[in-house]
Amino acid sequence: MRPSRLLPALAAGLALWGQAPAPPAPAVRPDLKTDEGGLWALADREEQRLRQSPLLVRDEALRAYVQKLAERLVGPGVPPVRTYVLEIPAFNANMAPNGMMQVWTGLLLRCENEAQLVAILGHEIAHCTLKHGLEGLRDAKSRTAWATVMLAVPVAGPLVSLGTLAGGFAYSRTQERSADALGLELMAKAGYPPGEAAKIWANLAEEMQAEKEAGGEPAKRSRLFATHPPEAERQKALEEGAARLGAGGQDAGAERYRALVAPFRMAWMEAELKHRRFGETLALLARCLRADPRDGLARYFEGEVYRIRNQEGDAAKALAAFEAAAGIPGAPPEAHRALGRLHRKAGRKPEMRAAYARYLELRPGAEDADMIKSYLEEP
Amino acid sequence: MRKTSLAVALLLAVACQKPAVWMGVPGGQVVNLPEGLTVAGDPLWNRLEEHKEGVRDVWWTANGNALDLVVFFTGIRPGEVLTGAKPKEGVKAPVFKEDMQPEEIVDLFDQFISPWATSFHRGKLSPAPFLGGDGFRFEWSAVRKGDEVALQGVGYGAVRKGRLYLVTFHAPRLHYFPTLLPRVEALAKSARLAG
Repeated sequence: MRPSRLLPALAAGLALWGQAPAPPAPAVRPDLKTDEGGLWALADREEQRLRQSPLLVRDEALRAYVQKLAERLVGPGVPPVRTYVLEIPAFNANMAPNGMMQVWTGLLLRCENEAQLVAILGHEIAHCTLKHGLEGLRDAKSRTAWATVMLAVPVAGPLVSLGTLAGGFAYSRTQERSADALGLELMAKAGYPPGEAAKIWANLAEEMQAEKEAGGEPAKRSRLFATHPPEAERQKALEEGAARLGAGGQDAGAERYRALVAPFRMAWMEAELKHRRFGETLALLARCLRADPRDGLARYFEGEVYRIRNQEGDAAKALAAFEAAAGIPGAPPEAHRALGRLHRKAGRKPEMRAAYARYLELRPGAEDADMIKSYLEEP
Repeated sequence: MRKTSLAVALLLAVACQKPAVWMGVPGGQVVNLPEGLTVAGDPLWNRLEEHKEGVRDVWWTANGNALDLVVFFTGIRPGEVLTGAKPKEGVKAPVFKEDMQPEEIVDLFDQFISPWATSFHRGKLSPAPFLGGDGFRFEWSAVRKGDEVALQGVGYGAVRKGRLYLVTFHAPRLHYFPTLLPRVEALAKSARLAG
């Protein structure tokens, strides 16, 4: 049986897009004998594993930043939130009923500003506020999925079980719409421009389209997002919702966000490249370069995409991108190394030496310094 | 009826499953591997005897392949994946190219193991003698998918006559990697190409 307090909230979500449902009563740890108590216990156990996971990004500044943003959004009816950033190159975040929230680095890489991250966090907090996970558990259609969760978690490794647990929270479209509505309201209340929420989905749709056009297969959306409405529909609904809420705050926090993620972008982009979804990655990089044409890191990785893709004409594009990156102050020194490699293969020794020497000058302690020095000593 | 058929199919599948056969590596003698690669035998190791036709990766382990694994990739030709197999038609797979530099070969290895490992981080890459001549040595770390064990690895490589030879070793970062590393270094140092 569904608690009667959820009905008005869901009805509101169904009937009137943009009018957020009223939050339920404050969260109290449920009795372990109940289904909700079992769900919390399961999430508690997962959280224990998560704390030990080698995939956990152990950077206090980043964790504290995401944690602070999440705390600003949590209202009555939600347990205290605890955020964990995981080094997984996929667009994903989720919040378990006990307050454990995961944010994956593939999502952080794709947010353009603080407001967009807040929109995602708000959406996940909205699911938790509206107890959608519990609804899923009680939904007959989801019982098989939950049986899998219950069986898999004790025996599987953390990465597997986290994925399976997330699968248990595959929400219905109706739930997604109501979470979008409440999430939008939460971000507006926190002082962010709600219009940024729709941009996330526009960006994702753009990447997926680019991948299709490049002849690849767009990233399979995570099981968490499997029943989400299509990006275009979602984008439109969020734009309408944002218009109803008004302009909200004016500061999307782009500068703050860029400064915070700057030290991690290199590693996150390298992980992104390993997917070999060149269309998606080029769309992502093009977006970065539209926002900042002097984004040396984006320009360097544009070259890397062309170098690795290696289709007809890509060698020249890679060379042009690396040369452009090498001329941008603050670009990764690896742009010079990439140039050195291209020159070495083409037999352009003086250019090779200049590029590799510049790389070593900028990154004297590089892990591959001895290898590079051996190239410089070649006759 | 359907249940009976399923049970029979499952039983057949289990019965036909050939268990992995590990054979002890003899000590004190030269061990021949595919493509003319030889190494000094060390009784610490066990060799996986099961091989598919046309596949040229050879697996050795001391304590079981979940705890430590040495893989010899022998004579990989341009256009082949690291096992020596040709990628299936229409399948994009990371393949060896003759003009690859050591760092690109490390990338190739990273791509090759990516279905089983995540969070691959390259470590030190330096020139190193291998197969009695010029080669390179690389270090790496990763997280094994499934059980999230932190792995550490090392590899030696060289390209001879357009073919790639690699010896890689990885093990859990705690205990197994540092314990076995000296024996792996000795193994790599002993590697030669016949002929």
